Amino acid sequence: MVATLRLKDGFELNGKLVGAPLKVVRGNLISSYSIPGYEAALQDPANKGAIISFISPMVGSYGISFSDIESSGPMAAAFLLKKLYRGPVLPGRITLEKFMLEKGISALENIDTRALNIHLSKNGEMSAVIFTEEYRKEALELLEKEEERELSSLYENETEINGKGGRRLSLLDLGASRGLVRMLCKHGYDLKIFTRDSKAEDILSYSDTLLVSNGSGCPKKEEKATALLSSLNGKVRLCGLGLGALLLNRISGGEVEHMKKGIHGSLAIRRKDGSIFMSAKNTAGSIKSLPEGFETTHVEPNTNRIEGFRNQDGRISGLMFAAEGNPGPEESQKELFDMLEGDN
Amino acid sequence: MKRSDIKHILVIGSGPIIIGQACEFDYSGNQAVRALKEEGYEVSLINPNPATVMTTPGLADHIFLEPLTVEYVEKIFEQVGPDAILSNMGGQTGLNLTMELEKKGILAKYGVKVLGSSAEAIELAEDRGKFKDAMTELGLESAKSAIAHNTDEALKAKKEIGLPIIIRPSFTLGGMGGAIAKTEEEFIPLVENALAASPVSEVLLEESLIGWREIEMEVMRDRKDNCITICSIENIDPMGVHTGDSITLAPALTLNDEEMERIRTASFDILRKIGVDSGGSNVQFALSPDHKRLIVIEMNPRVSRSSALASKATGFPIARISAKLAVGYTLDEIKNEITGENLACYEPAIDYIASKVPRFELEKFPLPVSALGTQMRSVGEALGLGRTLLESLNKAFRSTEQKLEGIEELDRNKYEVEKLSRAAHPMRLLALYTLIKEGKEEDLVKLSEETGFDVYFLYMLKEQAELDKKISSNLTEELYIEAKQAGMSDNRILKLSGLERIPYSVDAAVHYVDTCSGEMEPLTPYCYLTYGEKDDAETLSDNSVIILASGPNRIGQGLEFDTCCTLSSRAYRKLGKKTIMINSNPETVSTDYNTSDRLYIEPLTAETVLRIMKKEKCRDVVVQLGGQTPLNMAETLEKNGANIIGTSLESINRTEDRELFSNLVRKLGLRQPENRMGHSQEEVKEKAKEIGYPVLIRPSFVLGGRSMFIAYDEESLDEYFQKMNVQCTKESPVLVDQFLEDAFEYDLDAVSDGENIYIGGILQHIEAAGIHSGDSAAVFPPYKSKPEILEEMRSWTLKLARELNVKGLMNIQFAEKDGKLYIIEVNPRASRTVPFISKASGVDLVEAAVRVFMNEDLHSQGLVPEGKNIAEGSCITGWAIKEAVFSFNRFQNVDPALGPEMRSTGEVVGMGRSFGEAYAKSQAGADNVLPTKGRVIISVNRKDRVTIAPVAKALQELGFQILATKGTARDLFGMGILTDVVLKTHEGTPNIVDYIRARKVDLIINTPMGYHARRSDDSIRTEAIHAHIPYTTTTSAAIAALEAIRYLQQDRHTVRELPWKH
Repeated sequence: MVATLRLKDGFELNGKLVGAPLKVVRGNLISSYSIPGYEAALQDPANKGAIISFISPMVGSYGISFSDIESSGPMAAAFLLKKLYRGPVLPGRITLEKFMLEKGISALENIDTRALNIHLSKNGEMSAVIFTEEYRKEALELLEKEEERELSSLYENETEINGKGGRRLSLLDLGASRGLVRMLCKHGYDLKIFTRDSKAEDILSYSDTLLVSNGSGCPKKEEKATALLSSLNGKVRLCGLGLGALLLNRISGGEVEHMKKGIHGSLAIRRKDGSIFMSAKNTAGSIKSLPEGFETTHVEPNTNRIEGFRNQDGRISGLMFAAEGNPGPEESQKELFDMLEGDN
Repeated sequence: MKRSDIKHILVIGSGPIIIGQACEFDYSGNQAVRALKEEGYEVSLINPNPATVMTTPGLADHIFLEPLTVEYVEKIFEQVGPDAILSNMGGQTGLNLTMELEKKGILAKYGVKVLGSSAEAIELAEDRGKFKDAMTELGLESAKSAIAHNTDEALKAKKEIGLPIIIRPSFTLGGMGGAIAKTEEEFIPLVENALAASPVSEVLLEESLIGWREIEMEVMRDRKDNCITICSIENIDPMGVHTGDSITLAPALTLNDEEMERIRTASFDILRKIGVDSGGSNVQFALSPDHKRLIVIEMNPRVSRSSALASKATGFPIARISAKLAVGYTLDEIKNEITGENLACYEPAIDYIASKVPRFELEKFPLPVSALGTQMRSVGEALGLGRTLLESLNKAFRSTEQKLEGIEELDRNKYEVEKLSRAAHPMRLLALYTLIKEGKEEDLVKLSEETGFDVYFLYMLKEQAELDKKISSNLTEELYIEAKQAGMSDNRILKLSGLERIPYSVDAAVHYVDTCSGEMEPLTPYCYLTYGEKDDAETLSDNSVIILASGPNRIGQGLEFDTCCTLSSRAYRKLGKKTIMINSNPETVSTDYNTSDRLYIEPLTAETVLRIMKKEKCRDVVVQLGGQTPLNMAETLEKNGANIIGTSLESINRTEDRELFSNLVRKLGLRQPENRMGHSQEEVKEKAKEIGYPVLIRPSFVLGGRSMFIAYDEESLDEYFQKMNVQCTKESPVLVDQFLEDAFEYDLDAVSDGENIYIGGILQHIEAAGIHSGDSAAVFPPYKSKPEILEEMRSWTLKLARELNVKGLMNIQFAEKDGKLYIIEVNPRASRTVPFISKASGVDLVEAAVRVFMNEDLHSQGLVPEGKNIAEGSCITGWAIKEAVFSFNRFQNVDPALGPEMRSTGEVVGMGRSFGEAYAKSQAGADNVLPTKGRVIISVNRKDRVTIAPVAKALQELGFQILATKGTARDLFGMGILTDVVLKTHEGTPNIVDYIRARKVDLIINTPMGYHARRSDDSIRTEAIHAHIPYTTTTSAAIAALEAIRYLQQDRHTVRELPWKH
């Protein structure tokens, strides 16, 4: 069955509808550069409500392999791809098609994702709808409405996860990636996951460090989280990733902005000492200016865009890239640990 | 930052093309030389391969076409005084030479630093024992293995490891001498073989991982420890087949993110551990079918065939960046030239799939069913780019130019499909496809377990089979587009659908390879075609020309032609014309992103070229530079509106069609060997009698000298028909030609403007007529010929050029017998010898041809003086000798005796003031190490004994001990030369073979004893190859070798810089 993708500016492409049935789906359209990472991208809370277009043309090649698949749903609203793999996968995995049917997610196949990416690169990220022809009218109406960026979260309630009895770390979940939680536990952190509704004193009593996760929301819309963080400022060491870092920058007096086109894939990061490593990123938010007294710890080497910062005493620091890896390179994990340990 | 303690760098090339080491190192070396020049370094280059682009005058400051041996490199150190060498651009040859220079203390003696991979890193990566220990220290798993230096040690190791077991010799390139032993009986002979192949008599015995998944990573590291991945490559063929012989794709598709990151992190750890601190490396892994065990196979601390492939697949120029890293830059200090925007510290984002399919020479070197293994056998490869795996793979198969339109079922009359589907054979994937399409393999999971192919790839075959069936039943427009998107050719679609013409019209879309999936507007991208998507590119220019290159390497069509195409692009651009290159060979310079104004990585078929012509609105097509491939489609192109640049098709046909050619020769009053045609065996005999024996016979429909035979009498004619299984019928007649026995052969290369000719040079072959010109050593200028014969050649050439109105290059092969000149063939196109002649004469014939294409005649070019019609070049170094290089050591049972069928894979040149010097260097360059003392075995056929006598005598005088087989010894004694007698193989022991195996002989002169005796002296030559003992199979080569030995005994290793006329 043919379905249509229409962008806010009128750009349209047709594709073959696969997965769950669909009438109209709307979302912010992003291009994901992650080559084998469709599995994580579809389930990354930071992609909540997004329509993901995969740059890598062959999608579904290894099925869905997360062991905790049952508890994890798709976060993306829908996705776009060139070619779906429909054949058998390894024992213990399920095919992407089956996953889509089970989780009620739809995709368009045989989409010219290259033309789409070129379009987005020129015109900027924007919202889009996917619809079948009979729902064209509804779809166009929906597209005209102002976009509400959904707030995301990985956990609904406060949750404690014990690593291997190492040191304690509080995590404020604004849409943390599963990879982040898994990686922190693997490295021996005892985690307590807090939500936007958590109380400041509970956070303070658990650990002296709070990591604020990445997420799908717009910094200005994260009112609860902003208030919570403001109340914690100065009482606990605050570390942020992606959206989390943007919020920390804002509460300290810095300015944030929205990039024309977000970065959803790998990129190089340069440390203060000049060395480079590869990481990944999944956000359209960017730091426009740092608060007074803050210093830049990481930049993107082509544009010198700020990718990491800290204040003078190291009580507040942030990384704009997905230092946890998974999906994405693992070599940036060291940056996360350095930040958490105050070695940045 | 750039190192300032270095001013002058010597780049080591990889030498002649051999199986396992081909054009990819010309491509890499060329990028390196240019990158270093850009940085302002003085650059010297050593590479005896005259066919390369990298040795083009003007590229490096000092070009030495000298043998890649320690002696000659040392002389270069003395003569031009470089303060560093670049080790990692010349393949395994470059690494080995660097190691030797280090071990012999030459580097220390001259204070020369190693750039690229250090001697320590090379040692650690190449020494299998040390490498394995290093992996264990990293916590990475290696296959169970042991080192053995003799058969006893090997047997002990086998107990631990078990069968099947992999046997690899240490320090060889392309896995030469490696094998897999599956049975007890095979084990010892294979071990012995491998011990012989290893220069240090050491073998590695390894747990067999046959049937596992194979993944390669192309990674780079700079001196600040910045590491990046360029791309991952997944082998479709499971473990057990050398990656060079495997069908591969990039990026890897069947691994999830976690698995990819594990491999990626391991690759960086390995780079750091081995100590590659500035450059690219290739790391190979095996993954168990359940994805649980990850095993490190090997790493190459240098650019490689895979890195060339990765560069072309992604647009990231690994060699260029490696060279910059080697001189001190870091990844974040180098610009990405494709986009012109971002820095080299990025990992290419690709929105297409790149597939590589190797090309084998199954007809010249037949392979038994399970022939593929750890030793590389393919001679070339083709790259296909497409938006899906099927699209790219269908294109890659088509691009191999083996009469496949893509993934097609095998002809059951020709192939044992069931057997091939379970055997390591080049046709295995197509055999599996055949079975799947026939419905004989329905359980793909089971098939995957049985064959080791990931089910992912088998499912892809199933999709193709289903698509085929749909097309066969009813080709709708929608289905046609789907088929085009799957990479199918119109020919294939027509065949399946049974239609005569495609009733639908769909234009191709041009997509860019831009390293960034369209994120940035690229500066120097290249292109591929796909369907049903939006165009990236606009028409390049209204002043463009299409150059058709030569496709995958094969014997008889390789680097030489690619170099002609590259040089033509350069010449055209200099003259202000925009060039559009089409090629499918990822190894080459012609497929480098900056060789042409626009490059298409596409199959060289008429359909593709016509589609590109339409896209580019360009009718001008150059077909005379890329060998046979472009010529084969020229007629179709012309019929469909192409304007063939240069010599007309009609003229080309007059030289290719036997009858037309005879008419031409007659019309011009020239002479050619008598020639007839027989439509039955009886008729062939009749015609042979008419002409008079010996005759050269061959089937009319076979090209390239295959199934050619020289018959001396009627009896051997009968034998030919029986043994070679040659059909002779009305439809497929057999050609019968007068054979000019013992004639001198010549090659002449010229450029013509239709009126005048400029002869680049005339080459005289060392081997007599009857040996394919590509396999002969050739001397420039002619070394034993009369001036009047040369004069006759010149005037014949002018006559031909005028009659045929040749515009551009032409090559003529002549033979001279008893003072009479014969014309063997005329090729109004680029020949294999054009790059060689251009360098040896100092005039770029390709540029001259391009200027003719642009209507600049030879007078205005200044090549032919006003008032004259003929001019000729001369050898700028005195003597230049081209020697053919073979890869016989890759094939167990191939007789290296030369014949009318071409089998060499590459060439080298030797240059010198004297014939002896030039020949000595040509042999050293070809790794045919002539001795200066020791023992020579002579075993020649009866008619050669008179000729060989003075050689034997001279060798004795030079201090050699001569051994001869009975007959030879007797006849030599009759001529007053006393030699010792050595037994032939069947005469008892110790015989010739025993001497060879024990390496108690330093030179073998052995001419074939004729067709009957072929078997018996087979073993002498094959044994000589395996023992790496120089041998000559013709008397003329023996005489030349004598001259060379005289030169070598003076112990001079003069190096001569290639002069360059600005």
